Amino acid sequence: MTHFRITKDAIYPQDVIHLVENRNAGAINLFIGTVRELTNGRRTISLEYEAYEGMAEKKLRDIGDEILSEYPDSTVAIVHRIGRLGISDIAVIVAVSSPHRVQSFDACRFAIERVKQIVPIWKKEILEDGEYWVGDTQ
Amino acid sequence: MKILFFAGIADLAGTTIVYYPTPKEPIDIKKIKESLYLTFPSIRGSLDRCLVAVNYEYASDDTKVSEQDEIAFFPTVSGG
Repeated sequence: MTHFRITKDAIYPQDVIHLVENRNAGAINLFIGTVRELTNGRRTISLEYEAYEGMAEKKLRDIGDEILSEYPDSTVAIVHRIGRLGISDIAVIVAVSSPHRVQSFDACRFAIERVKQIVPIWKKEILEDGEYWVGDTQ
Repeated sequence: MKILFFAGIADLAGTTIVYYPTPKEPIDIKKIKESLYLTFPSIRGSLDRCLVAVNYEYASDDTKVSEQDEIAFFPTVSGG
């Protein structure tokens, strides 16, 4: 399993933790993004994630490089799932290990924000009464 | 030249991939958009709000492309 990956399969936290385990780590920080049922009072049935896979994995690696230049002693893994996800399914896991906790908290937060900014992945909300691409202004 | 559409713009175009006739000389993204508007009138307006990438890197209207390049148009990303 590579450290920066788009997958159609379920993601398990322990697998991603294994990717960043390190004898010099004193902390591992994990962010888990999950599918929320209610958004502004509207009920989501499922989310359909689509990715430009080649570019998405490239951008995940770029985020890894950004983190290494900012937090040199860290180890990073980011795995994002695509396809149809149900309520509470895990969509993304970011794991960062570092010698001390502050860097792993900061780097983990930084990584998920960057994922939301630059990685070409889109989600379609499937509602009881229709569907729409999130953030789409078309 | 391969042109890819994703998410909402693919829905509007009714396709995810277009093969663009290879230009004799490098051309810019703006020219490609103008040509796409003729083939896909339904994406006029929307395409201008899309992001564009060339070979997995974000690009802009004045980025030049040629035969081997992979171009992609897509809406603002919404992963996570």
